[in-house]
Amino acid sequence: MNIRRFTDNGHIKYIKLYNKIKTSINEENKNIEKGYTVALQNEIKSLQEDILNSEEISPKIEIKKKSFKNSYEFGVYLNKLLESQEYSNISFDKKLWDWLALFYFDNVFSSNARGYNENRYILSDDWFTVYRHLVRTPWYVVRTYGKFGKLFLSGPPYFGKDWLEQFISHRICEKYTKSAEISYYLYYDEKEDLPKSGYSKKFIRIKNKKTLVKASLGRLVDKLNQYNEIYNIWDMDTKDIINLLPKEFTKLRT
Amino acid sequence: MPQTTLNIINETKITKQGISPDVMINLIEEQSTGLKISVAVDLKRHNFDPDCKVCLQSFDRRGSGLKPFLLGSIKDLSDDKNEFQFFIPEVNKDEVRFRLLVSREGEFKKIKVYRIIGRCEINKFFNNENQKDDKKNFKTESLLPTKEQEIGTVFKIEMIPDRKPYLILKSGCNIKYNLDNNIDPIQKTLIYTSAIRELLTNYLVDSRFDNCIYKEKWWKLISEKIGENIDDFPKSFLTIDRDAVNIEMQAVNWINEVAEIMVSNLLDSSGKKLVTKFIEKNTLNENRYSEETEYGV
Repeated sequence: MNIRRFTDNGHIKYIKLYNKIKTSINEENKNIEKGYTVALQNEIKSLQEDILNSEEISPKIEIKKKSFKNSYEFGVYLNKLLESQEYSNISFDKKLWDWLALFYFDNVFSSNARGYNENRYILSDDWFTVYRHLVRTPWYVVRTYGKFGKLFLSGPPYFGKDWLEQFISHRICEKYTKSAEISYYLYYDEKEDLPKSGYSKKFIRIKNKKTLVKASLGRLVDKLNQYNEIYNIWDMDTKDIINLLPKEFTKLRT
Repeated sequence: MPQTTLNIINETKITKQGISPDVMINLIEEQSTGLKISVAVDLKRHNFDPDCKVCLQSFDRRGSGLKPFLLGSIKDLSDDKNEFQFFIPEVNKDEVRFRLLVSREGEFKKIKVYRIIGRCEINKFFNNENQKDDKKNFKTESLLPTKEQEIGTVFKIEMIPDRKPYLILKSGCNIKYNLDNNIDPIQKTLIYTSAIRELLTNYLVDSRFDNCIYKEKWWKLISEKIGENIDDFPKSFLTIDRDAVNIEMQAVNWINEVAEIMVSNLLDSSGKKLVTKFIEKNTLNENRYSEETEYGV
């Protein structure tokens, strides 16, 4: 099959179907397994097979059903697939990303997921929620940050990672690509091939009290914002920026 | 005893507008994939060291910065004419912003750093800046400018920390024209009332706006309009009591009050309130409807 994008009508059908799935899950006390009934699974399947709701994109690109170990692997695959496409043409093309979400629905929708918010499957045009899309985001992160995107995409494709949510919501991080590189060196355990736990949130509640997590990603962002005001951090070496960080980061500098 | 010293640099402001500015950025061409720009820099009147580096960074209105272009060292830029052309991908002319940085290599705790010793924030192209001199084009700064986009709803608010909030209006249905030119008081009242409520609610709910400069500007403006001290404004829209989340009624009332003063009581050039125009327009429509119904048209 070649990559397609929804027609107007097809896109509306998809959005309505997803909202139906969401309603059904809500009615089953937020139990995804029970709410995503066989009937709804069949509706997804028939929408996947109905080519009248979509049209091929140009140039033609062949796409295959595959399984992916994690979102990073998914992002690498999508980047290879879409490399002939102009970034500005596809970056916010809802009908393309949502069609891809439908095509890979079995990969990105799972009863093991912790959430089923529509922004994960229907591309939002809100800056705060656009990065929750489970197909476009892996593509975007790998395209923007390369291998350092692993930190944000280490979970299975149906999983929206807190690391990404915490990282991308800060404007300094979005395209200051070194911020992802710095974060990767500090927080990614290459031996375990997993992020180090306990650093994604800036604040946690301890004994019902909001407590700052030292050396957390949020603290790193604070420091990068500060350095951005006094240094030309783009020209500085990543290791030098890491060494500039205060003592609380010492144990993360390996 | 360790001491913290602050080195105050006697910096002359880098100018970006007026006659012979230090930096001038012009738009050459807008393409579907990005912008072609020209940059002219003349920093000779400044006392920067010859080995200081000069970079130009572009970023979009949302704040995401692209890798800066190196224009050269101060020594390299000692000619009278230093002109460059660049292509900036993936940004449009209304959203692009620039930052000129002059930095000097140095050391901090034996770490090599590039200290910023001069900077200039540029929010508009030079030819657009010049339009400010034209009195016909003079406008005060809007804290909620409008913009057209292909969106599913008729309007929505786009808010990003430290960026001006935008009222996004659906393109292709004349709403922007109607609002900007005060054509339809009904549309204007409904859209702005809802927009202001959403904007204020977001500012009060989302902690990412806590230090936002535009929230501060909004708060200052509201303080002037309603005559209340900013310290007396509600601090949050929600209160969390163990697992229960409650809406603060004080915040709801305050938002209603602000929307009333800033939208309903908005005066036009003839001194008429927006809410009065809304009532008049609605009454006219009602009369027309009654007549049409009566005669079965």
